[in-house]
Amino acid sequence: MRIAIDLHACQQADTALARDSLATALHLAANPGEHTLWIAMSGQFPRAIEGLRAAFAGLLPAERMLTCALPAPDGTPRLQCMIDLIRENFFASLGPDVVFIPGVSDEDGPASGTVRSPHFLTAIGVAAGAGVREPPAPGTLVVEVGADPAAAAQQALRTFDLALRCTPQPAAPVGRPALAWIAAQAPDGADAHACLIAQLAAWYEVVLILPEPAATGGGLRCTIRSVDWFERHAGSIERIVYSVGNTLRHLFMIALLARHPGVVFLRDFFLGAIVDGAGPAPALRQALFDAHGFTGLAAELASGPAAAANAYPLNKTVLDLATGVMAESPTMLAQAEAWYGRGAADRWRCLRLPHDEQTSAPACCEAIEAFTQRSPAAHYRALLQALRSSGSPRDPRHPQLLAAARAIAANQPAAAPRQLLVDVSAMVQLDAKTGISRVVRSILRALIAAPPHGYRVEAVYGDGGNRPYRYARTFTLALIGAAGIELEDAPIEQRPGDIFVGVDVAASITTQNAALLSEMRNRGVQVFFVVHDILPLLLPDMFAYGTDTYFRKYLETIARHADGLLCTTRAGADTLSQWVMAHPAPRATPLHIGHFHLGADLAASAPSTGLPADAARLFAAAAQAPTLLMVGTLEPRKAQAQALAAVELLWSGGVDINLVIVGKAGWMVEPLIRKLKRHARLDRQLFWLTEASDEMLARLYGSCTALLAPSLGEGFGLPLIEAAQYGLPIIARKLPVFEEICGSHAFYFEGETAQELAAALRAWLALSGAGQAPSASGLPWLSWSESARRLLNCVIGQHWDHHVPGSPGGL
Amino acid sequence: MQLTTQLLQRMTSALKVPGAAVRTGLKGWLRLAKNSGLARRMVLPVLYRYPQLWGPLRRLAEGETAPVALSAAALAPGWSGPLPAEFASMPVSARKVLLDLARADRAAPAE
Repeated sequence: MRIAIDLHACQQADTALARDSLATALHLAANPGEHTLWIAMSGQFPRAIEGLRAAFAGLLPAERMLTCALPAPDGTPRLQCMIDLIRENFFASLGPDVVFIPGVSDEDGPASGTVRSPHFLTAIGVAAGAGVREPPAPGTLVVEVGADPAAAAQQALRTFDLALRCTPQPAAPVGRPALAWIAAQAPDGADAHACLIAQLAAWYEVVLILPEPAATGGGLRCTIRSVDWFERHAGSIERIVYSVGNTLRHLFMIALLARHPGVVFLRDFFLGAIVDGAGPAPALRQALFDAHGFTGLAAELASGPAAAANAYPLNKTVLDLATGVMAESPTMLAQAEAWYGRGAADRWRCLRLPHDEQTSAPACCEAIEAFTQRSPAAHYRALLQALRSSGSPRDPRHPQLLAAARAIAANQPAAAPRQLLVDVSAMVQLDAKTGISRVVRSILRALIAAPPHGYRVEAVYGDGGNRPYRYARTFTLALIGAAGIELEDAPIEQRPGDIFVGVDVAASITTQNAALLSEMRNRGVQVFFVVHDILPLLLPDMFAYGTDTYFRKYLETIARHADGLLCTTRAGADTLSQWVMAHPAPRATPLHIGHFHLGADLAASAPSTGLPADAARLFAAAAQAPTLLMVGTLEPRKAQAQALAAVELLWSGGVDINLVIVGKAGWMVEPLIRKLKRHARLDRQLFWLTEASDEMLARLYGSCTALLAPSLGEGFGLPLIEAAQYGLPIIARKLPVFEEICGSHAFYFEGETAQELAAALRAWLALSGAGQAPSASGLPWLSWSESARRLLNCVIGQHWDHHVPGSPGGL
Repeated sequence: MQLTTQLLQRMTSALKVPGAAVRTGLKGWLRLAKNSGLARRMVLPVLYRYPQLWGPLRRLAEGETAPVALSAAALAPGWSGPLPAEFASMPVSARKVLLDLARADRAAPAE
C-alpha cells in the first residue's frame, strides 16, 4: 500500500489532536511494514517544517519528506479553487493508494483541509471519541486518533486495507480508443513490434504513423498514416507511443515528441546516433549538456565530439519529454540507474520483446493506460484542464496565475539525476585570486570531471537580498573552456534530495539570503558550507575594521540554516565546533561538522602562465644563496613583517640569505609596503612579487631553499602542500593546523619576535647544512580530485567529526 | 529604505552604461579602496551591505560591458503574448508552467 500522510494539520496548532496525530504518523513511519510512506507538509506553514523533518529523520529518506507548495490565499474563491486543485495534483502525482490527513478538526466544516481525487482514497484522522458533527464527504474514510498511536495506526491500516479491497482496480480502456503508434518504418513480420501492434488491436484502434507511409509492410492490423496526418489529428488522439531507436531515421520523432508528448518505447538506450548525425556541433553540445551537464561538455572538449557521442547516452531530452517510458530490456533500466542515478527508472516499464510474446501485449496496454491516465504527466495535463474549467485567469501577468505556476512547478516530482549545487557567489562577482578562489576553482573542476553517482554538478551564485540563486553557467563555461554553446544563468530549480554546498566565502550575500537557505531546506535540499577558517573572530585585530562583525553574522547564519559545516582541517573542525557550542543557533536539527583536506595540484586548478621580466635576476640570486620563500597576501596575520625583520637581523649578522615574498598588498600593512618598496636590498636579496602566475610560483617552489610559513593563524595552508610537492623544505610556525598537515615533515618554530624567528632560522640553516633538516618530500598530499571525494564523503557519505545537537525548544 | 533602494538601483544602472558620469568617480574610489586602509574601511562596509555592486564594479574596473540579458523571445520561444516583469527571475520549470497555463488552447498544453 502507498500511503501519503498529510501533516498540514499538525503544522497549524499545538493541540492535543495535533500531537496525537503526529504520534500516529511517526508510529506509521517507524513501522511501515510492506507499505510505502510519504509525509507531506504544507509550504503555507513553513515554521513547523524543520521540526517535522527532524522528527521523521531516520524514519524516512529525505526524498519521501515533501513540502507542498501552494499560493498564499487572497480570500477570493477563484484562487481557493486553484489552490485546492494544485493540492490535489500534488498528491495525485505521488501515485498513492491513500492520502491520510490526521488531525482534521471539523470546527470549520467536515471538508476543511481534506483533499479528494478519483485517483486515491482519502482518510481523515479525527479526535478519538469526538467524531464529526457532520458526515464527511462520500467515500472519505474516518480514523480515530487518540492517545495510543500504535492502536490508531493499526486501525488506520485496517481501514485503508478494507477500503482498497472494495475499490475497483483500473480496467482496460473502454471502447477501443485510438492509439497512434509512431515508428521510423513499418515493422515487418519478423519484428516483435509487428506482433505487438497486431495484438494491441484488441484494445485500440491502432494508427501506425510513418514518415514514409507508402513504404509499408504487410500483415499489420492497423491503419497507416503520415506524420502530416498525425500533426493534424494529434489533438484528438490521447494515446501516443513513440518507438524510438538509435538511427537518424528516428530524428523526426524528437520534434514531434516535444509538440505531442507521448509514451516512449525505448528500443536503444544511447540514441547518440540521432544527435550526432543530426547536424552541427552546437546540437551535440546542447544534447551533452542536457543529459550530463558540464561533465558532458568537458568530455567533449577532452575527447572530441564523436568519442563523446559514443561514450555518453544522449537520450535525456527524449526521456524528459516522454509521458512514460517502456524499455525493451531490463538492461536499459540498469543503464538508466547507472547514468542518471537511483530512481531514474522507477516509473519505467520493461517489456521483454520477443521473449514474453504472450504477455507483452496486455502488459503494454496496461502501461499505456497507466502512463496516459495516472502518470505525473497525465495528472499535469488534467490539472491544466481543471484550472481552465475553473475559470483561472489567462493573462500570464496575473498574480494568481504567477503564484499558481510557481507552486505547480515547485511540486513537480524530483527527477534523476539530483543536483549538486556548488555555490561560487564570490568568484562569479570577483576572482580575488586568493587561496580560497583557487580552492573553489579546483574543487569545482574536480567535481565536474568526476561527479558523484546520480548527481549533476552545477555552479550557482546569488547576489544577496534573497534574490534567487542562479546557475553560474556563463562562469562555468569559461572555467572549463567550452565555447560554441549559449546557456542562460537561469534561477535554480530545487528538488528534494538536491545538495547545496557553499565552497566559496560570500559572507554578506549568504547572510542576506538566510530566508532562501531556510526555504531550500524546507523543500528538502540539504545545505552545507565550507568554513575555511574563523580567523576574523579569533584574530579580529588582524582584519579590517568591522570584519569580525559581518563574519560573525555570516557564521551565525550558516550555523542556523545549514545541515552541516565543513572545515579544511580537523583542527579547524574542532575550533568551529567549540564556537558553535558556545553560540548555539536556534534550530531543531543537529548541526554536523566535519573536515576534508585540500588538494595541491597546480595543473588541475586552471593554472596561469608567464614569468615576470626580472625573473632571471631572482633565480640567479636563489642559485647563489639560501632563499626563503613566503607565499600569501600581505596582511598582518601572515607575519611578513616579522619575517622581514628576522631576515634583516640575519643580514646584519653577516648571513647570506635571500627572502622572496609572493603576494599582493592586502590590508593594514601600509608601513610594511613602504618598507619593502624602499628597502636597500630590494631586488638583490629581497624580492617582492605582487603578481605571480602559477607557472612562476612553480618555478619558485623548485628554485628556493625553503618555504617560510610564519602565519599566526591559517585555515589550511595551501603553500605548504604545494611546496612539499616540489620537495621544498618547510619552516612553519607551530600551529595545530600546520602540525596536522605537515606532521614531522616540517621544521617548527614559536615566538612572535624577530629575534625568536631569526634564532629559529639560524637553527634551521645549521640543520640544513648538516643535511638534517626535516624533509618535506614524504609529506602526504591529496590531488584535488581526492580532496573533492573527501568533501563528498562528508556531504553524501555523512562522515562527520562533530554533531552539535539541535534545540527543538529554541525554534 | 526606499530611498536607499532607489539610489542603489540608479548606481547599478549607471554602472551598466558605458560612459556614465559616475564611472570616473567610482574608478578613483576603487583605486583608493585598493591601496588605502582608510578607504577600505569606507568602501568595504558598503560592498558588504550591497554585494550586488561587486559585479558591476568589477566589470567597470576591468573595462567589461554588462552582460546582455536574454530577450523575452529567447526565454519563451514560441510565445508572442505579454510576459510578467518577473519572468526572467522564475526558474525555467515555472516559466514553462506559466506559459502552459496561459496558452489559449490549454486543453493540449504542449501542442
